[in-house]
Amino acid sequence: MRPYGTGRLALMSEKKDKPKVSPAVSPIPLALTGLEPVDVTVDIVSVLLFEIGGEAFGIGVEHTEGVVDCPRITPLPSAPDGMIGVASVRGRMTLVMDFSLKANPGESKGRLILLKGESQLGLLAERVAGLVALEPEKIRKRKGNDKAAAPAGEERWAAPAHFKHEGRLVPLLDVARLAEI
Amino acid sequence: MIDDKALLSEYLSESEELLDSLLTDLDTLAARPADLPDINLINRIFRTVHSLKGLSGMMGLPEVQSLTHEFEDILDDLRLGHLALTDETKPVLQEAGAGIAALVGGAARGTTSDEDFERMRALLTGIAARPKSKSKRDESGLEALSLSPKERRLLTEYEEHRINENLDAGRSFYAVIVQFEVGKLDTQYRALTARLESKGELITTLPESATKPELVAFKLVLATQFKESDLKGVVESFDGRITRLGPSTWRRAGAALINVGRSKKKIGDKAHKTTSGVLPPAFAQESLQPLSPSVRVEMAQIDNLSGLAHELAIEMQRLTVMADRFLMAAGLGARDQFDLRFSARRIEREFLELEERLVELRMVSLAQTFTRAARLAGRLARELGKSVTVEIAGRETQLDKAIVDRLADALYHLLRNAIDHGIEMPEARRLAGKNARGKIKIEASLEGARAVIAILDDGHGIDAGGVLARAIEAGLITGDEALTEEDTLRLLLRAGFSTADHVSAVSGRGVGLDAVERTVHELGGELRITSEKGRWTRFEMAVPTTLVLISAFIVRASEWRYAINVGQIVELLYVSLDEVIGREGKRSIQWRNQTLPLVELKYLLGLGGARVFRPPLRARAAGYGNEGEARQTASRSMARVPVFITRAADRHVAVAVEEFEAQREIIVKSLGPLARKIKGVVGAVDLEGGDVALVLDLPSLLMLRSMRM
Repeated sequence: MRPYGTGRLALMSEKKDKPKVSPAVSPIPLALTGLEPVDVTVDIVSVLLFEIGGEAFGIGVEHTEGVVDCPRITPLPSAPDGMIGVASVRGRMTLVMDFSLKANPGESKGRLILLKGESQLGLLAERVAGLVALEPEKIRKRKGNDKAAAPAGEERWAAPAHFKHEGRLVPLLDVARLAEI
Repeated sequence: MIDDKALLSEYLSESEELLDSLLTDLDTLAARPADLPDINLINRIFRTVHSLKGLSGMMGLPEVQSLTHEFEDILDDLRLGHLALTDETKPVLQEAGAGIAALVGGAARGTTSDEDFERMRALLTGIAARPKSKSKRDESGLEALSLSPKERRLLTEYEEHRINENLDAGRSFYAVIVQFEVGKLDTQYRALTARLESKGELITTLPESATKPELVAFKLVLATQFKESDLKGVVESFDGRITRLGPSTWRRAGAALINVGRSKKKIGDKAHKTTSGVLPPAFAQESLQPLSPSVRVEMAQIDNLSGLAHELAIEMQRLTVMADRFLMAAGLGARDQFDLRFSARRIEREFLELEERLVELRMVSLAQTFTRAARLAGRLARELGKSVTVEIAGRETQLDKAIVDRLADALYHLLRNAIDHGIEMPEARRLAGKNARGKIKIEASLEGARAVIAILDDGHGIDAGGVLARAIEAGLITGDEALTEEDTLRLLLRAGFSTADHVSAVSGRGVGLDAVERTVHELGGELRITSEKGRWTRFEMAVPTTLVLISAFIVRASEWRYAINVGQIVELLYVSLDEVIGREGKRSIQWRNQTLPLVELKYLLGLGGARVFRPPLRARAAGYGNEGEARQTASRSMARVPVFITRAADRHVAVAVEEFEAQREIIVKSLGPLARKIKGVVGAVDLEGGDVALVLDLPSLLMLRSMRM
């Protein structure tokens, strides 16, 4: 019996009343992008905060399926940047993405954030800091001329937006873009 | 009528096999002289009709079911001798067989009218209403055999009838007494009965008392024309003894005389007319038409085709790359360039589609498995003194045959669990204010690329608190963990965990759920449990709908293990370092009078580019560091490198690895939709200890590397 399963967080319990937004259109609820009005009221956005390589990242809880202790990662030949290998989680092969620049497959003792949907993606995290409840206006969408204000990771990774948390700017990952890597 | 096309074709192809054997057997029966019926043949026909009845019932075709039921009754009468097989009945039976064959297809497609059924029913009633030629005999025949009254009481009506028939035919009866060890009982009993059946008719098997407690003894009653001395050899090879049961010789002679008279009397009846014109003309025309448009194909054949298609697809990719290269050089016109590119891409796409279509060929519906499961659930419930209603949904869901086959045991286990541990006894249910009859629901649905097979029972649910307490008691957890309800229920899946306070014959103690989870995991799926205490429990097996099973060779290269389809390996060999020609980067070996380039798998995978040969693991076992280095040099000439030969395009290539592990059958798990971007890897496989081995596609890996070079 493998050790996973016991360490899972109950992340998904509140997700049911969230509006359903197709990830193909935008992984972040439309209300947050300011593109068009949505006929649901989203007061609070739950973001899962995690750290890797000394940087913090955020991802909308509704895009995650759970957090597990990361099993041994097998490196992949000729994989796209950031995709460091494969790990078997509950019998499913998960492609592991590592946002830190010093990727070191096989040695990870971190946690793995499983993404929802069919992408079979997992995000490696050294530490899952927890959930942050954000008001939508706290999330800033990146604009073309706004690069200076963006945190370092935002440009590198699929993060079209960021928010401020405990004094630092945290990039908010876009699941649809992750899947395009 | 069956609306579901997949289900219809499955039903028809299964019925067709049964009908084929039914019609052939009826013809054989008709061709035999009437007074020498082959009882094994009649039994087989009876069984075939019985299966057809079951199949039609399962498919919801009540008219066909009731007709086959009537036909079955007639055959039962025939078996028991209530109905004589005469030259008159034989053609009617043949006609009835042909009629049922026509009706099965028509009913399934909904093209049969009520009249057709009525006509068929009239035909069958006609046979059944024939004067019962032989009334039940008195037991005088049985008296002729030396069986105890107790043994005689154990005989069924059919067995009695067979004894009488064999007495009439003037055969002798023997008792063969054998005893077998419990462990070998099954195989030895089967071997013995097979040998005896070749010598005569095995009437029955009666219990005997054994000489030792670890042995089980039987008395087999055999009717035969052979003499005792002819049978002795067979019986003695099983350490058994044989005794004559009778009848005495004068009885046999008398019976033989009676028989002669009877057959003479029959000759006069031969001129008879067949009851023709019973079947509508449409049936007669249709009789040559096959029922189902499908053919049955061995899975291995599909696998072969898939392998071929895959190779073609890879070769095609290579051609596309080459086409691109030539386009640059040839200086073709824009139109030609476009045409060449266009058709190259189209062929490439079509090869991919071919591969996908081949995967679809392996899909079967869950209909059969579910129907069996429902029957089984009813039986299990009866055994446990419970009563359940079984509901089935989503039987048309299609999965790879290999997955359905592998899931059968897991499904059985979950059902057993639901009925034994989930559903309460009727009295307890009444007290809890529930219907005394429990409800089990077996359902399947699709969830993306996965199929979810769920078993739901409305029993007493799982007490999460009890599970937690038991887990702490068993030392599985410390009790400090913050577990969600789902996590708590998942503790049930730990090996050796059981909350059952009793062990029943149906569900053993503690084995099971962990095995179910392992099976589901091996298939690349997930087992989920949800429950509400006192009300219901739901187990879900979420598994992929397709899978690829290949025979692979596991090798090791730079601490990782990889699986290679054996179809891509030409030969495995150990090469001593002395046999390696050339320097780094341009190594080669001699193989079958050819010089083959030698590359390291590690290099092909882009794991550490340095192509410096290391002696294999055995030589390195002492560890790295100076001492190890010294050993390496010393053992350099003796060390042998494991190398496999593979074929890339038109040439052979030698690939060096660190270690050969083993060949095994593996289930290739998909890496998901993003995997398309990862070249040279077709999937991954779970190995023991939570390790993952990538399943390599050597031709594309080699192509990838050679293009980079």
